[in-house]
Amino acid sequence: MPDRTNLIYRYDGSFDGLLTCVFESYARHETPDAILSPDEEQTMLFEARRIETDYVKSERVLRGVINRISPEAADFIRMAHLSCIFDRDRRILAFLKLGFEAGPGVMNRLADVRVNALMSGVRYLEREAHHYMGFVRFTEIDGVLASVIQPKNRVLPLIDPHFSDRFNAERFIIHDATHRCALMHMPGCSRIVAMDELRVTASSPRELQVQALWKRFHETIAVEGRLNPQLQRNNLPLRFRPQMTEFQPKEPAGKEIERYEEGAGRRLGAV
Amino acid sequence: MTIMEKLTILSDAAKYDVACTSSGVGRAAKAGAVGNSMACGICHSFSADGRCISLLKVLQSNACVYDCSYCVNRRSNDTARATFTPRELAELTMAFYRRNYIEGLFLSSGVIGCADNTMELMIRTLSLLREEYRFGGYIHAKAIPGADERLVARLGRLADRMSVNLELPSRQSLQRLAPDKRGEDVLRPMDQIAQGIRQTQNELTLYRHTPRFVPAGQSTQMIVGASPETDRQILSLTAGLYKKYRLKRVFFSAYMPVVADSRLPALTTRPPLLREHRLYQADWLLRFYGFSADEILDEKQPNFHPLLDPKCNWAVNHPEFFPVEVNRADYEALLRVPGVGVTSARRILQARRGGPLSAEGLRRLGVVMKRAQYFITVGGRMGVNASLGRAQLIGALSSGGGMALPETARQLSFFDTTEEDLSKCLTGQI
Ligand code: SF4
Repeated sequence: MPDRTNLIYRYDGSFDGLLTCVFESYARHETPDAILSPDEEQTMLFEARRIETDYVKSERVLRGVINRISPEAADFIRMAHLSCIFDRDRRILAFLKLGFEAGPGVMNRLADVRVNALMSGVRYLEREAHHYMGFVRFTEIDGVLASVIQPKNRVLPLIDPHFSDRFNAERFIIHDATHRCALMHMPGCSRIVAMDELRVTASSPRELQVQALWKRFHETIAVEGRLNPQLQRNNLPLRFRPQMTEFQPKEPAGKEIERYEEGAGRRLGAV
Repeated sequence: MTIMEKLTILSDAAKYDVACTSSGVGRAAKAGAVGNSMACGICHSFSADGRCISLLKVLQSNACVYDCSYCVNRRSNDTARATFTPRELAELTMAFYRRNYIEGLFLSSGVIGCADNTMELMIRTLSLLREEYRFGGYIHAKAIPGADERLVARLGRLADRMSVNLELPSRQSLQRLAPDKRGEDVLRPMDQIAQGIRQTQNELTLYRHTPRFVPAGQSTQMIVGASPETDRQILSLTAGLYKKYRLKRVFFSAYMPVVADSRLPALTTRPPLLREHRLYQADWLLRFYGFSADEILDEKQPNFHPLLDPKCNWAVNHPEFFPVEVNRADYEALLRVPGVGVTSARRILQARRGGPLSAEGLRRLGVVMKRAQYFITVGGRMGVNASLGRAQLIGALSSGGGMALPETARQLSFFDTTEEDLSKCLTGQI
């Protein structure tokens, strides 16, 4: 009997929630046409089923992936789940179905759409995370380093080890404005928490001076005879620039560096 | 003089140096200290010329006593002079690093007083950074030609990467354009650093705690277009440097006229960006694609083709090597196919284990079929265009997609104009 279709799953957006969806799909002989987390809009008119996250079920699926496909496949879907590719969760389900049939060899099927699409999604995630290792800009406020980013993928778990090692003795916070969460670090501990908004404003004379020095350096280091804004844009797309110090107006004195929708901004005193 | 003024003068004076990479060494931070390093390097920004900014690239001083004709900092040039104190520069580096503006410091200098004096000043800056500020980020330091061996050795224990600029692609040109520098002054520290690296590598296998010496390796750079060497001469020199001194990178910098001098091209000369770009492409073939310098250019063709990249150029001239069957060919043969890169060649090998590949599958693996189609068979089958003649092939493979090339570029093939003109329509990336 073929699986039932014309159906949508909704879940809480967590990785365990997704694995629970996989479990239910097998248990109920259903292949949903979409699997949606709370931030995704439903565009299809099919019936929606709410899947409640169940850690016993998700654990069983995860063990199944590790044993019957491979530990790499388990790491791979965990990464894929952080990516922003279109139709992500349904593609993860399709990949797992293929994997449960094909076994560990599925990771070599790079030319198969079901594998390839997810792999490009993961590559995009990794590339964006690597970009942010360079493009994050901290502003120092009362000894705390604060930054806001607007990534397309959920990059915080990927950049956490890098920044927490590099600035291990610092207190810092990186706010992901897209996914409304933040990486908070203090010596010896770091974690990712939900956070709606963070406003970062440079105010101390020292901070303003350092920012001005950096802008000057950025401007001076370009060679006039080779100006090439197109190449600059290919390497550093415009979407990153609103959060980068060197692309802000020259005299930031007294002005906000990051501007987001008006609303109750959270002050940094809480960090 | 304020820090702002010094920074302006000393970054302006350093900007013609090309190497800004922060790659070559992976190192975790020490607890309580600031900074680590990623083997692949990280770009922190891009300047208006499109080049990556990874390091704070400045000179310790531009008050140079030498008079190299091609350089803005030459003694006889009327320009503002400044010198950072070691403390100022260390503090600036830390302030930028903590805010994640940079990966570290790229420190070079004009010759202030004499070579030894200059090196001592640089060593003081780096010691402050490493010891007092406990800085664990990336440092690239330039050895000043003619400096005492002991100073070179000390600098090498503080830096991750060192470089000595070759400046020009031949001894004769160096003599003519940089009369204060002798070929030996450049090659001696290069040799010393190469030996130092080799020695610590041997010691490291014996004792784990040998202090590291230039762990990210050595690089050099030379100016292209200020002197008469052919592309072939430059490329063989490059291959020789990789072999003899085991350099990590050789950088090329298109000559940009900054001062008028009868020994140099006129001030109105445009920088030969396309030539520089071709050199980087060829350098890539040397380092990752298993090509030798003689395969890329020879007596018959001592200069790069203005319209074909060096790999396509080789492929067009070696029809006997093709077609390559993608379902059977080994890694080396795949790498020779235009449109197949290091990544896609690896992916082809991996994907073949999962079953035979189709043309559609190749595209998904990242193969640029637009170029590869003329050189491969897929399961024994040729692409539709596989039987083009040589001239048609060159047209189809030309940078910019053959017929889509701007008017100015197309004329080149008939009138044999200089490559500089072509750089107006093709951008050179470093
Ligand atoms: S030594 Fe020559 S190249 Fe170096 S700064 Fe002085 S004049 Fe310029």
